[in-house]
Amino acid sequence: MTELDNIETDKKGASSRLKRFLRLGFLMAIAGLALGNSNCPGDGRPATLVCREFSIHVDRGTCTVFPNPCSDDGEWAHRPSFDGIRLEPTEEQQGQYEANDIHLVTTRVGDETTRSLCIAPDARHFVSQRINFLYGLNSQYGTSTMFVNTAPLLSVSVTATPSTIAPGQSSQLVATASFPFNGSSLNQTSSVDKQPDH
Amino acid sequence: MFVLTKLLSNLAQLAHSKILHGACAPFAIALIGIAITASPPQSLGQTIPEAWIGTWEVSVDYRDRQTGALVATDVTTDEICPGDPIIPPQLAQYVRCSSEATTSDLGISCHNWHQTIPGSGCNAFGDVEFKSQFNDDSWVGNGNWSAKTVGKCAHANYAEDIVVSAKRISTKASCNRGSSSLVEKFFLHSRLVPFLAGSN
Repeated sequence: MTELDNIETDKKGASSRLKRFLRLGFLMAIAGLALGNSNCPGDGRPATLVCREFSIHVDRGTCTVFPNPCSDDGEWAHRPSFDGIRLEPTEEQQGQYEANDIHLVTTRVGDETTRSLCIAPDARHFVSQRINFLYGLNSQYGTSTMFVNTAPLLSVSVTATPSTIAPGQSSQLVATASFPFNGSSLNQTSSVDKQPDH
Repeated sequence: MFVLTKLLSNLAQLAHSKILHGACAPFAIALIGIAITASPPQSLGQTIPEAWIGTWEVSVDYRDRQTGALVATDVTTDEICPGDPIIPPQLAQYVRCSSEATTSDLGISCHNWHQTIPGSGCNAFGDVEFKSQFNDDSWVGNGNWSAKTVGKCAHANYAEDIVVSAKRISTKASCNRGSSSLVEKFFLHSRLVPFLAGSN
């Protein structure tokens, strides 16, 4: 091998090492950029999306649709944006219900997205159960709390018979409280004859 | 060589600080993997075969591996178009994944990964596996993803099982909305969202 060949070989080797170095540097730049910009929730950076607290009622064995608590119009993201929401209960919150009791459902048809909170049929009753959630929109995120209720809603109706009376007459006031139970309802009625106070 | 080692070490430390806080551990783990092994970004991998064309209703269940509890269900109605990538190109930059697609099978695999983060005593592990079968107008499959950190760092641990059941509701698809990957359409997990930003 001539001296010229040796020089040529050295040049090729140096060029190859330089290319490897540049390739590696490029990869690290990409990775570093991703790490720096991923805005991972929990990495110490503040949440940049403002999310509202909200209450939601879900009957056991069903799902209830809810609007986006982190947007002004309640809409979920449309392409080309990406969004996602997940429950992030604290240990204390998690200890107050079973993991199987609750889950989220996202339905996407074309550009239309709806999200629901679902409660298992055999779940315990939730009464204003606090559950933290995290919402991500592209590289931004926000957190807040939902208050989940599964307890049947008590309804009360009130009637007066007759509904209008003259001075000195009396009217019967009837209040009926209804509580859904096993597909029917439990009613409790109370009535009183009342004369207007003078 | 010293400069390279120093750069790698700095990057790993940066990634480690992310992992300490947990939420993005799966992808920070993958990023460290890229940095340490210095592998070039993967190609876009397989694309959707012609036989899959149509409008599909795809249901994906995510279950917590530890408790078995259903965490989330995504039900998506969208088109599957021949030639669309399976893995989002922007994700392929971060995670070493491979995919395969034939007229009857589709699989995604993001390598088993284990790395001791230099100088930290922290070990990170990550994995995604998914296999599915396509038959006439049905598509069913299952898999899992997991990521965890152990050692001298905050212990993040995520593991979910994935179950997919889908039916083709029409063999027609306009395929005029631009190319979008299968993962972006049907596997839009909340933890993926930050990494898909700015892709379109």
